[in-house]
Amino acid sequence: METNDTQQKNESSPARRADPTDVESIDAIVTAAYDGISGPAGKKRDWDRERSLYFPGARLIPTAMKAGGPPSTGSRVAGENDKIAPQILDIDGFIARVEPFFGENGFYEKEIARRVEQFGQIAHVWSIYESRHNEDDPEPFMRGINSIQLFNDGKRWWIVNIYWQQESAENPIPQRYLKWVRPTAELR
Amino acid sequence: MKPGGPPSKGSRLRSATARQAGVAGENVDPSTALRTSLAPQILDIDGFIARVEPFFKENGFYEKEIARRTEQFGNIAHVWSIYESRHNEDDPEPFMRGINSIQLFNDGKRWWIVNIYWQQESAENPVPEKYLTLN
Repeated sequence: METNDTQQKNESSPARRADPTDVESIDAIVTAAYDGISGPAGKKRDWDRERSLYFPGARLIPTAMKAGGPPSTGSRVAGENDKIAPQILDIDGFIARVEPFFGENGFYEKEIARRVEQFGQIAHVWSIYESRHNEDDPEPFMRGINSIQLFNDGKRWWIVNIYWQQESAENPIPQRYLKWVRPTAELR
Repeated sequence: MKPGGPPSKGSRLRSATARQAGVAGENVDPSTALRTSLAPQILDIDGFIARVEPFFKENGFYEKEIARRTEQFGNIAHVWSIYESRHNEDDPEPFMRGINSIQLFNDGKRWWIVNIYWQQESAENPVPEKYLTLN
């Protein structure tokens, strides 16, 4: 099968077989993606679990903040660019980007609302998130939106692409996106 | 479809409609393809051009958006875009339909396409009615 060929070609680190409960539904894989990057300061994340969610060749694309803008909260938008631009990363590039921050800071990211489109084997999730330094912080220090493209190979879901931006004073999350919208019918 | 794979009716149809080949089977007719034989093919713009040029040379190809759902926040946007493909602009019926998931970026001056991910319609997976009536 082509998937396996591609996997061998593209995967720099051997991917662990995904936990079936992480990839059995759109809800499961999105939840696993958030869960996998969350944890207390200094806790080594289970990156093999995170890798197991991604289709070989998958891209992770943060949009970087302007220098002189709000201080970087680390996580996925720790760019030092002087203007906003998408940063096209693979999973290992993403891990390298977040590890220094995760080493020193607690980071818990949680989805608070979602819009899903689905057709055939492809799906798109417009996923609104909140980030906290401690799981029980009453208020998040950051919010944002992930645009997540998913693929179902008939057996499991894969993340093909995640593209995101943080909220800022100039660009607050529109109120309409804070309402949870469930898909009408999920594929398995 | 794998580049350089043996030509077949199915693979020809897919190179024919290569913009819709984001999720393509390998030498399998899309209408009967087993779901397990399909996989995303990750291309850059030049890979896409190389994929479609041979077909475009020999076949008319007109792709038109017929419905759209847009989400937008800050500098990013997502468009769930339903398309129809025709060999001639005035063909009464399309020979193919499908959906593009398009991620866009606005740098303050212009829009950029960051990513297009798509699948063709098949007998097994028709475009849901709800998407045909958007906007």
